[in-house]
Amino acid sequence: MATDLARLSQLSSRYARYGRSLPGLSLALGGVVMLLLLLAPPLIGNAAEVSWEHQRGLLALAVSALLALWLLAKEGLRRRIYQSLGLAESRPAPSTALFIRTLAAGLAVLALAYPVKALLGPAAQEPTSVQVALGLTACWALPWATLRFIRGWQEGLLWLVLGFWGLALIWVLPLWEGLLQGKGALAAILFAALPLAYFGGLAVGLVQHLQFLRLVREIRAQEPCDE
Amino acid sequence: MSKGPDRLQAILDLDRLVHEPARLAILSVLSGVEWAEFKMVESLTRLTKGNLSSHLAKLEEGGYVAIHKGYRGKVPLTTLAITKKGREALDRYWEQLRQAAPRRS
Repeated sequence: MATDLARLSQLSSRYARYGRSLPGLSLALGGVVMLLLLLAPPLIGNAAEVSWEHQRGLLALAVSALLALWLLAKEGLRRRIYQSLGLAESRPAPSTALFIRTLAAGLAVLALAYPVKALLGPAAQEPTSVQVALGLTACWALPWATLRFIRGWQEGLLWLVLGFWGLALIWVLPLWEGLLQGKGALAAILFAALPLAYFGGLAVGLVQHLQFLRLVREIRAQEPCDE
Repeated sequence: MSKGPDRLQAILDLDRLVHEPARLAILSVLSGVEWAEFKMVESLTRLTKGNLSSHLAKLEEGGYVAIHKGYRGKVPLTTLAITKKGREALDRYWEQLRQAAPRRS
């Protein structure tokens, strides 16, 4: 009996981890978002033959939309697949909570830095007020979205990579061109890190998903506890 | 090492609220999580809704489980969590069972 009950506790604990710390397929989706972020600059550049500053406005919109889509898809996966037997959350480790708060604080600093750059920087006159307003909204939503939607280390790290990659595309002047020409230390780091992050995320996400499917089979095979 | 009378006393001292198999299963499920929805505990214990509700009411009365009834959007949502008292009672129960178990020589 003790073994059965210990197993029951272990099953519930494993299931609840998907409600908080294990992202499953949303890690693999993050890899797809990363690829789309990589493709966004040339697509926007080819579609809109406008100045870099206006391209940057469009890029900011695309990055914000992709990040928002990833968050929505992640929450959808969590509710529809990983919490399909009912909601449950594991106890958060203090280190995870600290990491998420630090991440949100870092993004809040960036959110404060954006208006300074947008309104006082050398290119302040170039973007339209709509673009600045949208950029501000997206930047200020980041700390809130971090606290609201990011629950574990893996999600947090992916969010950090996606966020910084998106911001780098928008802010670091023609980073994409540098990437294409293979120039600069940042370009080299990104070229090396992106495939690693993409395939790493994909592999870990798929393994977690397969483990979840096995867990559900184990839960469904449980005998009623009052028999 | 526990002797015969000590083992008997350990059995007599078992917490009856925890000792019932269904309630023990509910507490075991909840001990692995911070909180869980009613539906999740139902899925894991495979108890019927009525049976689960009745055991939960007893555990809540004993202060071992906290039940929160709310809504997610317009859908009613009942969440359950084991309390500190419930966790202590469960740990004590296993300790008492260990003491009561006959030693193999």
